[in-house]
Amino acid sequence: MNILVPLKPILDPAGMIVNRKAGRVFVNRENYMTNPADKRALEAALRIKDEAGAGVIVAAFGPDRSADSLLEARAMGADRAILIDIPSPDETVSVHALAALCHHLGQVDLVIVGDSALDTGASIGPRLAEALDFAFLGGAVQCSVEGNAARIIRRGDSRGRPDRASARPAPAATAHEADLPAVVAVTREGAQPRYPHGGNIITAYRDANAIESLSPADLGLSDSDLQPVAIERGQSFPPEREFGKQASLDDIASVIGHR
Amino acid sequence: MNYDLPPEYTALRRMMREFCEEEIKPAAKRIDHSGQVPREMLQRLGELGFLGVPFPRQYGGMGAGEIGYCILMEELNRASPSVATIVGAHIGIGVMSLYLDGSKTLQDKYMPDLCSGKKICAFALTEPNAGSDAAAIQMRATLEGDSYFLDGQKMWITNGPIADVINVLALTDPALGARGGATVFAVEREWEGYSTGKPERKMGLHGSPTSLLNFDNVRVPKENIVGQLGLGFVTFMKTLDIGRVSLGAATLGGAQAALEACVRWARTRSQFGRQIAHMQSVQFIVADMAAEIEALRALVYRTAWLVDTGRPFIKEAGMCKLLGSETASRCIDRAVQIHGALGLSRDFPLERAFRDARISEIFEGTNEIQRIVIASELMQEVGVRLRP
Amino acid sequence: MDVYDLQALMGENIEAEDYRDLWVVGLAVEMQHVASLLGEARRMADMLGAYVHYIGAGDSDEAIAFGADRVHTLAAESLAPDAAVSTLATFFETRKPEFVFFPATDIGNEVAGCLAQRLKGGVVCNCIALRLDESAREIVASHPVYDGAYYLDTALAAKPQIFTVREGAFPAPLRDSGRNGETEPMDSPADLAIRARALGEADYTPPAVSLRKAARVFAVGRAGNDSESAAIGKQIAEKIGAHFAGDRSAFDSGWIEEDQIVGVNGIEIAPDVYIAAGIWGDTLHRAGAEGAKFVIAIHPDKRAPIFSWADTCLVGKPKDVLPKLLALL
Ligand SMILES: Cc1cc2nc3c(=O)[nH]c(=O)nc-3n(C[C@H](O)[C@H](O)[C@H](O)COP(=O)(O)OP(=O)(O)OC[C@H]3O[C@@H](n4cnc5c(N)ncnc54)[C@H](O)[C@@H]3O)c2cc1C
Repeated sequence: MNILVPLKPILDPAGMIVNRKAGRVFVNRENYMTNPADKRALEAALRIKDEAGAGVIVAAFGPDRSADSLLEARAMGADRAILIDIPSPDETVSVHALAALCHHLGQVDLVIVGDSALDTGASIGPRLAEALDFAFLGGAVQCSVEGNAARIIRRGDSRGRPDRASARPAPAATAHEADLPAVVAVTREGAQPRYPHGGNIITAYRDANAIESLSPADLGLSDSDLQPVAIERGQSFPPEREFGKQASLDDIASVIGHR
Repeated sequence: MNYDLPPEYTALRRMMREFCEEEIKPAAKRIDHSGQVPREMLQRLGELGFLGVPFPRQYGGMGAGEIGYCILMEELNRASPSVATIVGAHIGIGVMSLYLDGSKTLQDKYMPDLCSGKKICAFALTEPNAGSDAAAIQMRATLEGDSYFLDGQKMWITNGPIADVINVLALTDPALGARGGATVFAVEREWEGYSTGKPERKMGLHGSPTSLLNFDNVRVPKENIVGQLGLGFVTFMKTLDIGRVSLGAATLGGAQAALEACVRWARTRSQFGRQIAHMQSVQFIVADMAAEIEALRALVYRTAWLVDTGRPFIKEAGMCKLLGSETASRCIDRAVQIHGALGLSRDFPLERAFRDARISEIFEGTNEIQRIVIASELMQEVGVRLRP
Repeated sequence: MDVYDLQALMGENIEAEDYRDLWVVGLAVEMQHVASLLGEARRMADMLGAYVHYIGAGDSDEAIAFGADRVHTLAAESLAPDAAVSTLATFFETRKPEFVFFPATDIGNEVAGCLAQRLKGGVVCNCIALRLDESAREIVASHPVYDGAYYLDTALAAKPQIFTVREGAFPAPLRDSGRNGETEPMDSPADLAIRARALGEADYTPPAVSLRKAARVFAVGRAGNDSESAAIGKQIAEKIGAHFAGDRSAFDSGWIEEDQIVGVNGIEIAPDVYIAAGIWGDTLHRAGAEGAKFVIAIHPDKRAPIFSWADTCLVGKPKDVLPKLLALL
């Protein structure tokens, strides 16, 4: 069984200051990290590898910044790492390229993705499933393979209220499954990613062949496949925080309920 | 000239930083107050290769050289000097003497368990009457048949109470003394006649247990000689030379943590209607700290590079330990000042850092001894040999 | 009768490059959320001279009252994500939608993504604002990134332009029960292509989170509290799924353990919501808690420093306030 996990390097928010008043994002330290949900997706794949045996292939777009994400994944236990030579593709182009990669690789039974990218909000899971004609299971906090099916657990309170726990008592978690091949989207509440053995980091980085590179042509992508659809028109900002606003008890109760 | 660390080291630091921030720093206060580092934590360090950073992969190490090891010590000490000291004594002097001079059989026998954290190592040189004057050791090792019998006492031994394998220097030929007549033995904790004292009650490093070791006629098979018979003093001195580099790296982490705390507090605390960051005296202190730390960082990593590239490094290693320990103590002392009363609170990390840092000026050769080492290297370059 | 029927009557080719109208799809969400989408779609449709369609299982009269011209009712079997995708994709093959809006629920996001892929359109999820450029016939969508630290403004260079919209993005629309509209059932395709199977409740306990990483923290301090009200605070914390904590004074009063003290001399926290009842909020405490994204403060003294860094403030004794708050939650 082969599992593909796409990884997206994103700017580390620890090095960023968002100034709402000036309407600007200041980048003090330009560090990149693997998108947190993607790292949980990788952990889910590695657990399946540990339990059931599987080949785990990670892929990222490059050339810039992606090497660290890929090599870290190799150090954590991924068997192959593929760098697709397309610089910062949007959601549409990513989906075209990843679908083409699956065809190029041949036997990919399961794709595990992070449910959304912290830096752009892109969520490739459903689209990739559609492009590949695979089943889709979203919102997973746990993922396993039972026989010929992917099985996931979805937290009861995630549906309908993304990002935050509801003040209402959480409904029970539910299990879902779909026959392979499938795409599973893992949330940031998925299993805590493992730390790689330090020696594996050294080995991965010193292995000249740790990363395989593929060009759009290798994947049979045409120019139209590489046309982005999402066009960034700028940034906007939440209103500045206002401190000291007086509120009634009812306001407080409703604020607590909504946050 | 290239001052970039190769990317594998940056990646290694990222991983170590994350681990230390998530798993060690939150426990640092508990470690200090309880006087113990949980064995599971050491186990965990072993699983990730932290306990064998400079050693080859085949022994479960990382194969990351002295540079990788310095990164580890810097990051560990930034989070918890107690943990850093246990690890430093384990890797930097304990396993290191086995690795530098031990036979392949001995390395195969002990290193995998030591690198994986199944076993912890100690380095036992100091005796009640032999501190700075290490050559004055009195512990005896007498040959009877195929075994040596070790008799004597070691003192102030880091990891003493928890070590499973102890590298110990004893006189095999008292007539020759330490130089030529001392030998290193690897001793296992279960062996009959070996016992340890109660942990010393120290000013700092409360989580790093230090104790007396008693050897009452402990039988050690000949195969457990580390290095060559009679040349144990050389083995131990070589080990200490390398150890000083990573000790310097550890002090760098301590100083860095103090600087970070100051910068943060300077922006957080307001008096006289403004952040104390706006007081020039605070700015000067922070600037001095930053400058000294940057100089230390350059020295430490250059020296680690000298080690990894097989160049002479003894003088620079002494400087790492000397400059590092004094820089750290000075920075932490100033940091306490900038934090006011909070700096003295046992609920805030600086009070602990203050106590923990002081020891670096004493162990692994006092700073006076470091100055002697540096001076004798300098004088040797112009043909003058200083007597020990 | 809408434009598609006209085209059909006149034998026009609907394959032509004209994408039309605004479509709101409501899959099993509260009408309130859908209503605000309908209201916004109505406003945009009036600027563009287009129609508003509502696709959903809800009350069609309501949808019309909130702005829909035409309601296409979805059969219950088409509400599951897979089925909704098949049904909508089949339906949209002949009617090319220009703009499609979904509520930004997990299901909405999933179906919107699949649909964008099938129809070769574009999609932006979790939008909090939409701005229509009627001459360019384009919507620029603001959607949060980095957990809402700021928003990206994104436009789509393909049609249909699909958006999933967060609750509260638009004001509740006026309800006009006099509006006219038509309703027709939407056919479900013979093969719903359902692949995901629900297996029912699962045994899952989320991993324990430490106070340091908690998403919600409810903390008490000495001011205006007593041991009884502190205990009520603990109940509130449990009820709202928050970690219970306090400041140094609460520890001194014996209401919390040492590892529950929030502050630089205790645990430093950065929750999404921090609720402090009876906490003065001086530097030591503030520096350990000000990473909180939203702060609610209750304190008897209006001069308490905590009010200068709290988003929502109530001057009052927690002793009096907390029991009432518990009852309200
Ligand atoms: C926490 C801790 C952990 C330790 N861990 C270990 C360990 O794991 N293994 C181990 O073997 N030892 C260990 N030691 C022992 C340590 O290495 C010695 O304490 C150190 O070498 C100094 O020896 P001493 O304490 O006997 O001081 P002394 O040698 O008695 O020195 C007293 C003072 O005289 C000065 N002095 C001595 N000789 C000279 C000279 N020639 N010129 C100028 N000044 C001089 C010294 O600098 C010092 O200021 C540890 C000590 C501590 C505190």
